[in-house]
Amino acid sequence: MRRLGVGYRQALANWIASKPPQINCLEITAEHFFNDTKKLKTLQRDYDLFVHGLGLSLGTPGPLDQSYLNRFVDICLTAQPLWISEHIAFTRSAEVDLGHLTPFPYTANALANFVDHAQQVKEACQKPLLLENITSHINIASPLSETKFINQLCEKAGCYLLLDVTNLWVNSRNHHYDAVDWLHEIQPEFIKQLHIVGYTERNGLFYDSHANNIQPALYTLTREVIKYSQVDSIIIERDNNFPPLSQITDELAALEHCFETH
Amino acid sequence: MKPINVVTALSRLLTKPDLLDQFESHPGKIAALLNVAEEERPCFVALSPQQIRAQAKLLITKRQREVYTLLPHTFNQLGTDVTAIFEKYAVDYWPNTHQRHLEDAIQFARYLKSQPFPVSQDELNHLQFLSSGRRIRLALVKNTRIKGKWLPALQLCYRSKGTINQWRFYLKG
Repeated sequence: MRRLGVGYRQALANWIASKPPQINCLEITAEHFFNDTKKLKTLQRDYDLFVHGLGLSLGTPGPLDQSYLNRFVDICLTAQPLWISEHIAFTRSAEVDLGHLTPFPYTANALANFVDHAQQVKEACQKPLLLENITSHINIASPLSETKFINQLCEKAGCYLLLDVTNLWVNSRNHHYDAVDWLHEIQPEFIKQLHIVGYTERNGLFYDSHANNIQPALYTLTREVIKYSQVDSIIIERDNNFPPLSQITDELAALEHCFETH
Repeated sequence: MKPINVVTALSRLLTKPDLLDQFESHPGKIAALLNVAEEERPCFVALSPQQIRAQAKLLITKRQREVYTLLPHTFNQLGTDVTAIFEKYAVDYWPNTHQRHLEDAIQFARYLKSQPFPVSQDELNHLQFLSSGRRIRLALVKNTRIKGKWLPALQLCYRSKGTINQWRFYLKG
């Protein structure tokens, strides 16, 4: 089954409640429901859900924040998602919470640490875990390439890749590499879900601001990914500057077309 | 001194502008000063100061954007100085809960009051109510922005059926 959906946001809540035919799944951000899980039951009744985390900080060396993980598990118990997801990143160190997805060097130690954390999360939630590529201005010279790190991580931790098409495209432009070459270095069986939203360009740099309509280059890359792998679902991840609903439904129709043509 | 990992070291560069300036001139010296773990040191010294500066700027800009949505009138009162004021505040305080934007906005408003810079008291009251979990809060506000005018008002914040609302009643026209 191929699924199409959106990230659940307050600005889309009424539309989502009307059960529009264009979507059959939803991604909910765990942290948005930490203080109130009531709404989740209704959403779970109407849609296939995925629980997406922002702050588990799996890339931080040392033990996971157990209280944070417990709250994440509580959300999963209520939402009963098909799977859960987090980012290949850290958001806090032992000293400070940056509150932003930040890359770390891809070393053997970092891989072992991340595998351990990913397995703990899977075990705690009893759900498949997908890990998402991030975008960053920082390009760290590492012993392992990003794609090697992802392949080994998925293999060792028994996880999948949530491929953010926009992040891949943005990084490829900011750090000057070919996005399709990058894609072909990933083992196709690991790619399970896609994120997509329009990017922003300022002063020659590209940003995943989650505030723009999806541009043609992103559909082209999406078609490449679908041709290359067995994508199960695509989520439009709009956070700001919400357009008229007709724009969202047009984007969903275009993504449906990407699925159908492959 | 115990060695620190590269995640901790990178976080310090991202949050301490003075340290980043020193790193730009002497990366090896800073790696030694921080005692970055030997096996991670090559990755650390190879970091691009320009890229870290861009990322550090992004962290602050993102926080400022979120805080603006919670304190719009306060921001407007600060005028063109707002970015410089926010940056000065933000490098010394990093929120650390899952309600980080709310926490950041409350802390920024308190910082402004301590300077002192103008703060929209009804915005701060509202944020403190959101953070408190209380069912109801009533406050007298000397100056609240209502329909383009600054007026004294009675402010009522309340929770009902999972939603949070507020009413502000003019005290004089």
